[in-house]
Amino acid sequence: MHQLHTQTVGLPATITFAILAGLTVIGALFTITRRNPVVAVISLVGTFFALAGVYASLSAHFLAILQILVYAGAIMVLFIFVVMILNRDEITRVAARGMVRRGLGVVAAGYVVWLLASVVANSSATPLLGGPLSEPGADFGTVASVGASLFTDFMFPFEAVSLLLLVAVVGGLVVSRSEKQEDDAEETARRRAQVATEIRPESMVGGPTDATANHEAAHH
Amino acid sequence: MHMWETIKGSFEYGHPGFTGLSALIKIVYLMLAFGPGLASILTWMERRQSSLMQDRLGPNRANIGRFKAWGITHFLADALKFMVKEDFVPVKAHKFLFALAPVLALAPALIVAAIIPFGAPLCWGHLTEIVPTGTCGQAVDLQIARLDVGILFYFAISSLSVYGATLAGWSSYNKWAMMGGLRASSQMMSYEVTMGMAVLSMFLIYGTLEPGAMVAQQGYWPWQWGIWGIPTALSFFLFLTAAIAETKRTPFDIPEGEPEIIGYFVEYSGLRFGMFFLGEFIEIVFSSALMVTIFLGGWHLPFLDGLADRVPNIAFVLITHGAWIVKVFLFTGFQLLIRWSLPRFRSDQLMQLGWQRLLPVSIANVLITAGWILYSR
Repeated sequence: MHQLHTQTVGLPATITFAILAGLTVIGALFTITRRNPVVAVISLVGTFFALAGVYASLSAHFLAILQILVYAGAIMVLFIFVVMILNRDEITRVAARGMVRRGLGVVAAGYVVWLLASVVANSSATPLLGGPLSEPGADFGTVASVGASLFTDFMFPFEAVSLLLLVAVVGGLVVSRSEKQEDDAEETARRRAQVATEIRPESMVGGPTDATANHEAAHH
Repeated sequence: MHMWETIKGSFEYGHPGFTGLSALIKIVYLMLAFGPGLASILTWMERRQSSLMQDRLGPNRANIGRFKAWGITHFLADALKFMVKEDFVPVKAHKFLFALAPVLALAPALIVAAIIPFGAPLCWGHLTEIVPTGTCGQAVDLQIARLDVGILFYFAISSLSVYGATLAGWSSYNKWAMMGGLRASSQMMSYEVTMGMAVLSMFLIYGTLEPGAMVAQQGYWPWQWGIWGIPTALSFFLFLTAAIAETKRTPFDIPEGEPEIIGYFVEYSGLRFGMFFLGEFIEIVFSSALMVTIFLGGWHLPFLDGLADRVPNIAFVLITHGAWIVKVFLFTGFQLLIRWSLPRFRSDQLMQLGWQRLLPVSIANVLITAGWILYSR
């Protein structure tokens, strides 16, 4: 019994991993096979949730909770929001257009899968995967230890990624603003012209009732 | 005989059987009995309170035989009505998502209770003895999960409840429901940011994310509680505002908008509508419980210092649990009071308040708190 525990990760952990990994793969398959975009997004949420479970079973609790908080709870909500606003119909099964580009995409994805598979297959050659699994330390994956390593050892990549995100945010703001401001300026100019030519504010000094009174007086 | 000994051994303190069973009891008590129970009573209380504030009688007739108690059994009548009403599904609705949405609205509201400490730790095997604080060797926390990520768990799970509202609106195949769903998703996303920022300064002050440790840092005297202090009082206000916006209640009831669109659940009837309804009130209960934990001393009974050294452990645990219940109940009552005191916002005012007022203030609050902690070290 003890032999088994030191050599492998144990039966309950294996079963948990099988369930979570299975859910991850099934969710990913649903994401790319469902024709309804909203169902596809929900499947992706399920995938992220199961993936968070895999992280948690690897003692990376902080990463797991961030996976749910950021991906499932925020980014995918935005996805759903956009899909709902666009309200696209269900996509058709096979479209002839863009087959070349899609084919290239499949080739590229296949190359990544092949690379990953070859690394896993050669696990003895990879120093990280080949060595014996050791029990992680007590503070492994805690908020404090992840935070400490982010702000000491990985300070530069962390700040670089933050800057990249900031650039993306500012870029989004600029793209959405410039158009809107031009529109607003045009709209204001148009309204002013309309008011000047049609409504003639000076005739409404006394309010609408006065205007009608003048109108009636002119008739009599 | 050997088998029996093994099974019995696994139910001793610290073994998997004991841990599992105690967790199960805690889950059943807090998530299935306390949360929905208090939420059900709140559904009656809200209507009764509003009627008293508006000089009406409100629901006061429901009774079981001679037992009337101001009509408090109205929630049972409501539950019965939900169960026997027709379960209507629009013909063009997306059947699967239509069925999934109420579950996604109710489940996160219940699951977030996992991190909330609801009483002083029990001392297993020494229940009838006097156990001073911190001297117990076999403590059973009155908290379902003591997670290192703590309150982030609450945020992660409660951020999923937005799918319930959004999908309900989308899958109903109804323009008003769709509008309600869009409003709900934008509103809940916006106020989540402020909520996180507000609690961030509390993380800085406590130096931990774990609610049990936060309660332990707060003392018996009310001036030792989290709310006491200028930055923390501000984060309490910001958090409360954002939490009310998250539960989509007046003055932030734009997704429901009773005078105009009647909300994302307009096509729901029977028990499925009941799930949305109950889910909203359970959210109130557990968001109040979280605020009590962070800002109002958790289960600490005010003005009675050193009670643990005077009464048996079991009595101490029950008293602290009672104090927690009273605090949560009063706080939920306060949230109902807000609903009937304030007029509602317009949709654009809501967004403006969230992004242009509350968020900058909460970010400034985090920076000032961080600076103050750095200076006082």
